[in-house]
Amino acid sequence: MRILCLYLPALPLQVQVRRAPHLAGAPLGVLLARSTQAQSPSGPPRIVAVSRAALAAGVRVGMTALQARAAAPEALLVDGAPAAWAEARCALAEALLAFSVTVDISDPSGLFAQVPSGVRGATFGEQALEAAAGLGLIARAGIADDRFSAWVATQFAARQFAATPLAATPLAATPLAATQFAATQFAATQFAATQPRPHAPVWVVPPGGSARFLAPLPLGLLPVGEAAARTLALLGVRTIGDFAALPAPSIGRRFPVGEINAHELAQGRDPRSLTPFFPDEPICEFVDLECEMTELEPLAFMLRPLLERVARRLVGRGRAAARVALTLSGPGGASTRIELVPAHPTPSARTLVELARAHLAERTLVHPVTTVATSVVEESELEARQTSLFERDDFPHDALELATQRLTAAFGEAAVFGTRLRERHRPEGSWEPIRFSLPDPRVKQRPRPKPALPAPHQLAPTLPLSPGALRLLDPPTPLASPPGSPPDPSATPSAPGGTLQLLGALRRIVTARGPLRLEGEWWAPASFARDYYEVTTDDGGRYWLYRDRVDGRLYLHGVLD
Amino acid sequence: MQATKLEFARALERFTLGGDAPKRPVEAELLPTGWPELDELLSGGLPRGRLIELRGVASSGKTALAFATAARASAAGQLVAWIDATGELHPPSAAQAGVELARLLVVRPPRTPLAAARAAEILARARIFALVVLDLPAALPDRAAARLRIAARDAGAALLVIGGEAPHAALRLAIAPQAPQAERGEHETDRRGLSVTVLKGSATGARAEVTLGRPALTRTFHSPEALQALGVASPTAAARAEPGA
Repeated sequence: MRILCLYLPALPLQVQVRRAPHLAGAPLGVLLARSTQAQSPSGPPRIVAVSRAALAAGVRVGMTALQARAAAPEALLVDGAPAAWAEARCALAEALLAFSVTVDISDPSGLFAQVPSGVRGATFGEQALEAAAGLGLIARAGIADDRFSAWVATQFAARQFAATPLAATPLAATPLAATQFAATQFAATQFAATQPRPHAPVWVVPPGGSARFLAPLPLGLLPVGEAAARTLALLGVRTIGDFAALPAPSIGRRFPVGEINAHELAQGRDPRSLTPFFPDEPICEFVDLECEMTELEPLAFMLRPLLERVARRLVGRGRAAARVALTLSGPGGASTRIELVPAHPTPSARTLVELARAHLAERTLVHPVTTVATSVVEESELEARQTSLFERDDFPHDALELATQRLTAAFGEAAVFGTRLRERHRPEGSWEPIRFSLPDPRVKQRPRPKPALPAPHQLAPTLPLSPGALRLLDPPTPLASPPGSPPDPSATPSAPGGTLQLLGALRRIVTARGPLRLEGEWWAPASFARDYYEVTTDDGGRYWLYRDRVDGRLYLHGVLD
Repeated sequence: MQATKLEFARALERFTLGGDAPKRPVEAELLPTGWPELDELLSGGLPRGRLIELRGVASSGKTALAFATAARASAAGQLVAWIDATGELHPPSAAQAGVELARLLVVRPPRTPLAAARAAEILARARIFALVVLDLPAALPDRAAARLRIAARDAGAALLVIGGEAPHAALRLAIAPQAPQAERGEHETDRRGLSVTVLKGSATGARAEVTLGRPALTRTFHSPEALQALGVASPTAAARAEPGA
């Protein structure tokens, strides 16, 4: 099994720039509160990551805020949030799940993933780096037979390797000495010569070559402890290769082995397996704007990278977004929430961006915006699309989705719907609005039990008999008695020759048919009992009336148009 | 003949120079109404790419005509949108008329002609709806109607306005019910006569007489005769049972 390691250099800084892209290139330092720093449990917060601009200005890792401001007054110091760092690692792990069956984030030194069989290591590494870039993260990738060698390879995969020292391994937590650094540089140069693309951010240790790869590297990379390393150095053991050549029994006696067997690591046999990562947190992505935005159009440009991150995470999870919330926050707690509901659950960033644009085009911003957040409110299964040469679907589903979203944005979600019949005897309850969507033939539908819906002929009791289309008045209009005649609750419209005030005009009834008695829902407070009549007026109009048997009044319920 | 014209127009469009010009839909596409007399009058049906106005008083048959056209379009696999700005659409009635509800998108905007026009424009610009019905509570403003006319032309959809006037309509039909002839007992039959007149269009002044029958799917036991047999006959049924009365 080949293992990929993704190393995220200066993660605190990257997370900050990921959330606020305008900070890229700024002299930025990330402070970490003392309570969260294991190495210095007391004292003021110290800087844990600095940008190149801040480094050039004199800010260094380990400085306090006071020292950093004294060194570079222009430096921007922000408080780090370890929870956000973990969230960024989770996001990257989710994206990696699109390419690998097993991703491990349990080790804070990097993310590890199993390279799928049949895939070239370099190709897989580039895919992983592209996924990281899509999430706004810069990573370095190393591929080897074991975790430790893969992690060490990530340290070589830096373009600026010659200018920056190797990061101290979190296992050893020991800074490299100058001589060790020189040895590492020499080893790196030698190793680079074996790589087809020495400056690429993916370095691949050949299969079975871990021990040879590790041999010239300094011992400080191994988790043997500072005292043990010093003792070994006095004994002339300076490189990992020297350490690996020592007989195992003597190592076991003299240097107690903890959870991690350093001798096995040195021999390129890291016994640690990958712990599978299962995403369970809701998908949320944020971006802070450089300044308050008062127009919606520029926001559309900000949304694309944000929704692309959401889409990458969805694809990694094997899920699709059925409902995405877009929250525009401003100063003073002002907030606007927009819900994007695609016609079909989708993991497509393009579709989500189009929907978001459609919504933004229909709205007017009522407050300035400083933060844009997207979150997947409702997920669904990602249904496989059938791509066939012979079964083409030319229907533009995207256009339909866009149109419904524009309508939703303009008039509200409840104003745009499809309809489904229901088996109810109450005429106004014999149908219900449903979400309008057309079956996509490209999507392989799983067999699902079909809901028992009434056929149109089963609805006939709730419809008039006369030919014509029924327009149902909701609510029904109480009929006024003709002027000059006292109201007569006992009068029936079945008697021809009478007159009724229908739709604002006095009309003479030529014929009538009825009653058709509809009653039901006696178990509910809003039960109904009605006697329906179809009447024809002298002008040829046909109307659907009923007498409510509860209050005794006549109502106009529909017009046969 | 229509098919030949259509093929010729398509061929002409295909070989027209100037690919940057927006593609115009072929004008000859028609949406049959399913009423043979009216289809004959309109040379095949309602034209796509046009703003069409259907005038008529309440209970004159406007909705029946719109349902019939929507039924034909949906049966042919086309999408239909119904902008219900009056809130009076009754989908079971549409289903009874033959409309495939799975292909009917309903929009209920605020009950103003402007809101309905806006919805219609969005739907037309989507270029996927063959028929967009605007059921309006009042007349369309002049400017909105002009915009809709352009949108219909560009998108190739038939925009059918019922319930309100549409100033720039390319085709204007007036529909009216025929007066009941009680002395012949026709009102008791399940037939209904309608008269459709072309007020504006290629056949201005022409008129078609249409007779609607009872929907095929209604049950038959609810009739005056059945009521009489059940002993709950209404006065009307009783009157019919005695023709001389």
